[in-house]
Amino acid sequence: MIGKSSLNKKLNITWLAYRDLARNNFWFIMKLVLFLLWGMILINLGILYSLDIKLRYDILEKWVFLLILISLNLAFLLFSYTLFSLTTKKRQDEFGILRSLGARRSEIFHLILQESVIIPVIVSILILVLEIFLLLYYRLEIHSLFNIEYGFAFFLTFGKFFFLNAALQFLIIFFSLFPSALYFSRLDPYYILRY
Amino acid sequence: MNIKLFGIEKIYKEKNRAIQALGGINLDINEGNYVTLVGPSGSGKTTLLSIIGGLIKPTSGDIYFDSKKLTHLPDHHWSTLRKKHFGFIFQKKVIIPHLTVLENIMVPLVFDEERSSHIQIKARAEELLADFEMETRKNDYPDKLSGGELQRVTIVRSLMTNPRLLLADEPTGDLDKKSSEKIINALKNLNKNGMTIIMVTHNMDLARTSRTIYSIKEGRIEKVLKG
Repeated sequence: MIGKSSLNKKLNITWLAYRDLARNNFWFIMKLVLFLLWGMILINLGILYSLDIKLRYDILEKWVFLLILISLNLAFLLFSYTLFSLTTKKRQDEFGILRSLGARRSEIFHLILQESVIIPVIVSILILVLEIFLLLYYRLEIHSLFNIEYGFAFFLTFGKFFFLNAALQFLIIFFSLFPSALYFSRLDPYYILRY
Repeated sequence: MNIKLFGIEKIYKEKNRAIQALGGINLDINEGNYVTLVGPSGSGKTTLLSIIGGLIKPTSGDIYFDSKKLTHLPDHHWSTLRKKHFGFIFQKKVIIPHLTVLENIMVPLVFDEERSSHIQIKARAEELLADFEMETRKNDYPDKLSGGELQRVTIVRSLMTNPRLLLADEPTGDLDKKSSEKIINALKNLNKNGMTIIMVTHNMDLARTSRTIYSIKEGRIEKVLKG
């Protein structure tokens, strides 16, 4: 379906659509990012504050990096779903036009997936890199949490943690994009173009 | 392209109630005809146009194009038909906002597997733009165009694949008199060149330019006003 002409590139990788989105929704996106950051901090503080001093100390010592990882993944889930909703819902008419011009459902489905997956994947890679540093920073806590010695067993646990997170983020991307892409590609162009 | 419709019914289901949009439409449109469907809002005109274009499926009844029955054709075959033989002009001026006028016009051929080269597609788009006096606006983005210009872009886009059947839903919509006249003349010229046109409109001045006028009321063809 996708050739090498500049038009096809524009249709396939819609950086212009993202630019349009950023231009029209800049403050909304900024507010969302701030909301997510504040949310992460408040949740973590709330959990810590609700515990007694000893537990709080233990948590800070041992579990805080797990809380950060969970928060990061939750923020990522919200980010990828919100970005997808903003870009795709805004472009419903566009998919309707393409369907009326003869694009098949499967072509629209691939188009949506290809376009929507790029930014979440880039963000996911950045988060995973951040997580490597977090895991390295908290390596002592991993060591005490799982009661394992340094050496092969330690790096096996380290690796498992990393791949578990990568798999989790893949699932987040998949489940936040795949059903909606399927839904939008199966909408009748009549309803999209009429209303 | 000869089109025959037999007993076309369309019922929309909404929660606990069923709304009958079309109640047994029979229609015979010969190749090269210019047909207008007129009627009050909610009479089923746009639904009928969408069924002919394969954008929605009828609840019952049969559609024939050139004696081939298409009623139960799978969706991807309808897509091929739309790609090769149909052109659409919608009431809502739907244009892709982040593509220029020229790129918007070139879009229909992106989904055509047997498409010509990029240079040939561009040449055809530029030729059509010149025919519609839009060549100076080819590098502009849609937000810089007036309503009449946007509608002309959608007409040019619908002609890119050289369709045999043009389906137009209120093509003059809310346009001023001058813009409407340009579009009326364009449709007349296309029909003179052999294109079959089916149009839906409230505008009786526009309807009178066609060869046949059907009046639709409450989902049924009430009478033939002309032709």
